[in-house]
Amino acid sequence: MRLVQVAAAAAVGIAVLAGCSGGETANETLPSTSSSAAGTAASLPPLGPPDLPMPDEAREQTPAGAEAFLRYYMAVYTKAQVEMDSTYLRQFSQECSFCDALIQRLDENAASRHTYDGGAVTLRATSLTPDADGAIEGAFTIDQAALTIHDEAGATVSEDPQATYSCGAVLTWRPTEAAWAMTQWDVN
Amino acid sequence: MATNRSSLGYDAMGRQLARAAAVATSVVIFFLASSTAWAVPGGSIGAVHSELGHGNVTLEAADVSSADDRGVRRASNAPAAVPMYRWRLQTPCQISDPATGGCVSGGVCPAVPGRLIGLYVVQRQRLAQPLIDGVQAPVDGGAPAELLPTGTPYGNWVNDAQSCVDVTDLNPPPSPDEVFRYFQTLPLPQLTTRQQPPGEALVGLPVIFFTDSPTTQLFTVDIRGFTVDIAATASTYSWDTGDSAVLTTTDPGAPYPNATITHDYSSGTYTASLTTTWSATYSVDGGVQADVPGTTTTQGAPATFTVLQARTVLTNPYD
Repeated sequence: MRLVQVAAAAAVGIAVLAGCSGGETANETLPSTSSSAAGTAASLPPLGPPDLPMPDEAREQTPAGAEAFLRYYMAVYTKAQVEMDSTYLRQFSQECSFCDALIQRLDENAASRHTYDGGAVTLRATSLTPDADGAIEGAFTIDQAALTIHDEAGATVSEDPQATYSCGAVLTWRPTEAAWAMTQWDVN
Repeated sequence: MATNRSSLGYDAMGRQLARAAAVATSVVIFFLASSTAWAVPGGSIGAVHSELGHGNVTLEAADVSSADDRGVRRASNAPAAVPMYRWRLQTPCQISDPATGGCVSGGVCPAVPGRLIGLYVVQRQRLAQPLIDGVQAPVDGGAPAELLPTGTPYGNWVNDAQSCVDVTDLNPPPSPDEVFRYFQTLPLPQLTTRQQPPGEALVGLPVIFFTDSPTTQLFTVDIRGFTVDIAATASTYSWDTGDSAVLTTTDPGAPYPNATITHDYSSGTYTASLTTTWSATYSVDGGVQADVPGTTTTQGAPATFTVLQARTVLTNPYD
């Protein structure tokens, strides 16, 4: 749908420029995007790591958008484990105690110069429904690959096997960013 | 949604089944107080989940009724025939002040003799329903993400309401307030006032106060079948000197020559007494120690003495 909107906006722009072609000197620069165009992919400020930006489909306030966000959130979590950097995981978590606990654990290990080996998290299935407040809540399952933590010398600090988790979540829509935030994550 | 039931035989499922079975029992979860207490700092979602904690005690229930005419709900371990939810109860303080414990419970619930009624935030989580024609009926409009055995919890915890709940049937461990009520009834030592010099004192010679009675006391009490260890400690001492002065100290004083509490008198007869404020910590069934949320006082036996005006008298040493 966004591609259609972008194409329509481009067509209008061409038409406007064509209308100016007679008599007057055309501006050498394109007009800036008006605020009325908010919501189009082109106007949304990028979120997330530069090499893993939040995809447009995760920025729709719909159950499908929420599912895309959950999938993206798990990708960001996986990346955080690879890089031992919780910055972007923190960006998409809001008053979420379990998210905070995961972040804290990652930060503690990073401070101890530990590294994570494995632990990639992938979304497996979802059952999400909107609530009366515009949030999304429901159930999802995820797989996490086996995770080994090494210390600075390479010795094994801990080992967790591969596991699948049945979870619950509440996602809250942040209109100013046109993005979801994880506000509750229950692991059952 | 494609479903492979055999693929659901993962670890989390095992935990869920165990939890479902445990729903019939009131479960007390003692969480570790801080991350430094983690024995194995696993980083996986499961490791963090199992180690996560706030020092809280959460009550779990199989069912929570709707409010009666007094506005009180009743929690029980007797599940409905086909339960739709599992329940948990936390005090407002456990939610708003999980770490420091300085929160004071608000709200007033009806007092009923023999019943434990308190203000709780009631939360519920959906349980997987029986399969009908291979379909799992949704609860509150949402079904599990994948087919689950009947009775398995799924989805997020939802705040049901904050209300007064009769939790007697759950036989919860003694709450801090309940321990405090017991604490107030304990036969704490009545610290005796000692003064020096013994007997009569002199104007211009400060009177020394101290107590040599025990200032700590351990009690083990049974509260509804729970063994509660209460360690009481004298935390402040108020010395009524008998001449309208009150000296407040945090130490019990000491006799000469190590005196720390003294008072100057004019001549007369005085009755001094000591009021001791006791604080305490407690633990339930050998668990984590916590502060008793309140203090109590004891009044020791007073001491009466006379303070004399000494007069200088020159005497002939050869008399």
